[in-house]
Amino acid sequence: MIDLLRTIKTETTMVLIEHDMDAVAQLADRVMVLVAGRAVASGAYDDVRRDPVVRDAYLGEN
Amino acid sequence: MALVGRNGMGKSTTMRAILGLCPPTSGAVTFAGRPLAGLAPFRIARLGVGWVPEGRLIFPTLTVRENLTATAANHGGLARPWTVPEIFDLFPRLRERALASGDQLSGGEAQMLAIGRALMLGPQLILLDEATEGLAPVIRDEIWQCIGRLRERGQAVLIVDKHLVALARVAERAVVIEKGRTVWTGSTAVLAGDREIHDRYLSV
Repeated sequence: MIDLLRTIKTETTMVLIEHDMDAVAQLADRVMVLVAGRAVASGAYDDVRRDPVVRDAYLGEN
Repeated sequence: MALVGRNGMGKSTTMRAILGLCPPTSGAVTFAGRPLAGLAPFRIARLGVGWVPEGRLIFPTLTVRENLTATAANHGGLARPWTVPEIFDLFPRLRERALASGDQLSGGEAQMLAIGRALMLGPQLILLDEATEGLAPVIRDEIWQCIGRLRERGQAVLIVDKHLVALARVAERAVVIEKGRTVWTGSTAVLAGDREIHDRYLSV
């Protein structure tokens, strides 16, 4: 499935709504995190996942 | 006990067969030594089998509190059946949302409510079908912690999920199924660590 989405991405802009962090890490060029309707973080996956606000509100301990 | 396998391999169907929602084409289902074949689903529930279905199926027009009490009983004859305050201790978020109607809940709140509703039956066995699907990681963590607490309380659980590491913390044994047949059985710890089994039966 990841490979399929990656192929589609080469030709089409994709907005992916997803809770599976492995999929997000492999597919997203840019990640935006929404909490209660507001964007609290935006950027590369590696930067966003280290954001303490994102860890607290969305990612949790792991 | 964990039940794992790729999509479409028969995990939910197995649960539905246990619950009497679809007839088995072969084999038998027994619960506490009693065969369940031919029993209506409500009779199986009254024997002490609780169900947390994929998709939760919360009653949308009832409040959180009403969802918990509408079908409350002690079908499993538990010495210490669950009470609403205890469900709220397990899921504090539900206490805050006690008067909200079912259709106003977030995915995570609905999942907690579905688990709470099943526990309020006083079940000897609870079936959890993809109880962490489609939830934010921080909410999934909360659900896993609660399932761990159920285990500490001695609750028998049959759980379908794909997060093998988390499963290994709450279930001891796993059965891997493929096209309705058992293809592997063993400890969840072994399953979580074995790349070969994962690639053969679980990867997409």
